[in-house]
Amino acid sequence: MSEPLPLTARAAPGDLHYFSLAPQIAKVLYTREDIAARVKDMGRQITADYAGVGRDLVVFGILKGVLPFLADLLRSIDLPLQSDVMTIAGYKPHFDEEPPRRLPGVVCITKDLDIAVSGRHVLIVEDMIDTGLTLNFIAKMIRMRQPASLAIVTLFNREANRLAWNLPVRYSGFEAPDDFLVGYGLDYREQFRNLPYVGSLKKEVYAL
Amino acid sequence: MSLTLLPPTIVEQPDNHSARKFTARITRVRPISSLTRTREMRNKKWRANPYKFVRFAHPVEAEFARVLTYYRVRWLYEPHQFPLDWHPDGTVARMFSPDFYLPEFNLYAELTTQKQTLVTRKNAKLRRLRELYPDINIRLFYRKDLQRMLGRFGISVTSHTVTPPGGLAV
Repeated sequence: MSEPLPLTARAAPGDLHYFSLAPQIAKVLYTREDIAARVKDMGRQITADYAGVGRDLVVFGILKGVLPFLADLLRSIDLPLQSDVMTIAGYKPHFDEEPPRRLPGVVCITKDLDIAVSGRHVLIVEDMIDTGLTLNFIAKMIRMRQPASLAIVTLFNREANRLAWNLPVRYSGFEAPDDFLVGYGLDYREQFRNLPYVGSLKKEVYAL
Repeated sequence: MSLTLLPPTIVEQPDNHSARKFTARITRVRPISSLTRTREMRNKKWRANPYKFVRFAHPVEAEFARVLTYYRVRWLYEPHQFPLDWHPDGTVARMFSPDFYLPEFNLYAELTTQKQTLVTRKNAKLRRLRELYPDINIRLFYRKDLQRMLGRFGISVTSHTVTPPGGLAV
């Protein structure tokens, strides 16, 4: 699982290789195969748990990091369901803004769900839960729409930094290590999302 | 001798000077409704922009507060102090004041930007806090946690120790 990035390895014919990104990756933590196996397991578990709810299952993800995980997870759930995506604007600091004691603004939904969730079983898909602030906001908003049930699926879970400890996280793929993870949708400044594996970013890249 | 038989000049009059002053002061105080209104206005201004009122010890704390406000999580900055050790005469020898309290989660958050090798003292304080107050939920964010969390928003976390006047930096 924690093997160093094969810098000297040659890519398979027809396969992409990501050596241009390799200098910024410290090591590969989860390979494509590790992730695929775990996602299939989670899909099977969700299928078993929600087998009795009929067509009332709504699965939606929060863009943009969740895209690869959502695509793989949806295909491994063997149930009729409706899927959607939601986008919220992330926090953006403005260092040169005046006055210095500025207001941060508030989180806003840039793309809401197109399907109704009232009275239905809702599954929120997230790539990683760290402090849980984003999901806390979304879960509160979804609860106001009165779904029949609400649960959260996450690929990576980091409990140590959790602020919103009361989130209903029911399915968790991996316990996230104490590193800055990139790849498989996870980004650093919108980069590295296209990596098929999850690696840890070198500290000198993000510790400015 | 009965008091009523004394001439009126000798009868001790109650010193109502202070009462008169007190009455006069009462008249100068604004009515209750006005006070309430002022308090409400102050609270409204606080809610509108708390950064005008709070003096953060470190820029990272201000950024952390902004991130919380952005995600609509209520926070209080250093609202409570917990005594950790006492002198033999009963006075407090050591206190701990967590940086943030989040009422929604009933959780305290303490941030530190010191290097991992220098946080021993803070860890000891936190251990003592958990011993004395086991019901307190507290999360300690180390420098690397803040770098990772705030780094995603493009915020740099620099080590910057603040020494309060007349006190040691902790």
